[in-house]
Amino acid sequence: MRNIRVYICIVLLFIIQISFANLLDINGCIPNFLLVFCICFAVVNGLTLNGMIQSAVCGLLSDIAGALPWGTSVILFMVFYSICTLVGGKFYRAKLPISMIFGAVITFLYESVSYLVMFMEGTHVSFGLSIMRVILPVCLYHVILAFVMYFVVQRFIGERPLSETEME
Amino acid sequence: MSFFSNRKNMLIIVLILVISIVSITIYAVPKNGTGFVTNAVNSMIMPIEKGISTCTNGVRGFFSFVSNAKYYKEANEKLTAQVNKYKMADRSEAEYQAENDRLKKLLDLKEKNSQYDTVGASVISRESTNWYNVFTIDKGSKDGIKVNDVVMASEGLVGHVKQVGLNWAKVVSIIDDTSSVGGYIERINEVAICEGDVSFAKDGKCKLTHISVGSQLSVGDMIKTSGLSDIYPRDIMIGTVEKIYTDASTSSKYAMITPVVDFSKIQEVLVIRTQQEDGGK
Repeated sequence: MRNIRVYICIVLLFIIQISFANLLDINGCIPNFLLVFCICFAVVNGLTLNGMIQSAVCGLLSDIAGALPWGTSVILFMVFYSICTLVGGKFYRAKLPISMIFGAVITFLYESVSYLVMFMEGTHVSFGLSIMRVILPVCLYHVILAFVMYFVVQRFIGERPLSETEME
Repeated sequence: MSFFSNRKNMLIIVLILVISIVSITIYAVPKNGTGFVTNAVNSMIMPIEKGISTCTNGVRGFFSFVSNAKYYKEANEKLTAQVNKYKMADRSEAEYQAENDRLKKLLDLKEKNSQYDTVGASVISRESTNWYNVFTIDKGSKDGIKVNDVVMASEGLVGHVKQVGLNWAKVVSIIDDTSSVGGYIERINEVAICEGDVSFAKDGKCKLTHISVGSQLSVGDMIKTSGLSDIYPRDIMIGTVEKIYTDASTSSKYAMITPVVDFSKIQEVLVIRTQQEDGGK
């Protein structure tokens, strides 16, 4: 049941991403709801196989909604999921700030990779300019979004019940 | 770290990674057109995107319109003013061009009639109650214009001066029912009288009378001034025969003439100034 809720959330966010994201741009910066969801979900959920697959689905849908080669975000989201769960798992009491910090750090990495992919495809824009005009504003946007998304994840998905091994 | 040491977990993760890498590789290989998978997936999500986009565009359009109403109003006013300005400029350009053409023709006419002392004038008003048969021009006695001076346009004969003021003059056109011009049918070498007629004048035409009984006059014949009258010099184009009538009671012929000058559009004219006080040429 929890997994179904996760997938419903992912699908809804995908629909929001392909329909409303452009309306929510601030100074030309469009948020990536699926990325922020993946971060918050990772922090709340912890490292599980289902979580890993769900993050891969998020990545796939992000690729479909975005312009990156399909599969790029799948790998990235899985890596980010792993990082978030491994690092976030060490901070049991500060999951919200961790989500927000990851919102900035992971976004920076994701957007940098996006820049790199675009660079390799032949779109040559100054990296400094990209950081100032795109990457940093999006990071800031995602920090705020992570604040909201964290509560959404907590409310609709909730903490993952601990497994027997973890209980021990 | 037990998650990554689990063989099943690793197998699934590696599988996903491999699929992703293959996908990226396929993407990276240069190809013509769009790939099948990309095409299929985009085709599937396109109707969803389109439907949502229609709704969101409607909502966005409404709020955007409300929030930008003031801007739209200002922009609309600005653009309307700009369009009017351009229209005016465009019209002025066309008008200047037309005026230039008219004046050029008038100059040609003046050069052609260099034996006469002529002066150019502009039509400043028309007596509308008289179906444009009398015009007022902007030249008068101070320009040497006298009563009965002949008035021409670039196409041909207009009429003669009826009344003269200091800086204006009234011109009776050849279609006015008080007008009578000695005509000459060029093709058959015959003379006739070109008169104004109320019924013809309404259509901007005039009447050719005093045609000899056995005349070979036919439609399309050109009529010029005969020079036999006291006012009009010879060989000024009057018009062409449009229709020939026969009077049932007298068996005499008369014809409808279409003047070469369009009296409803005439704007510039050339006045031939008489040399003697008696006005004859």
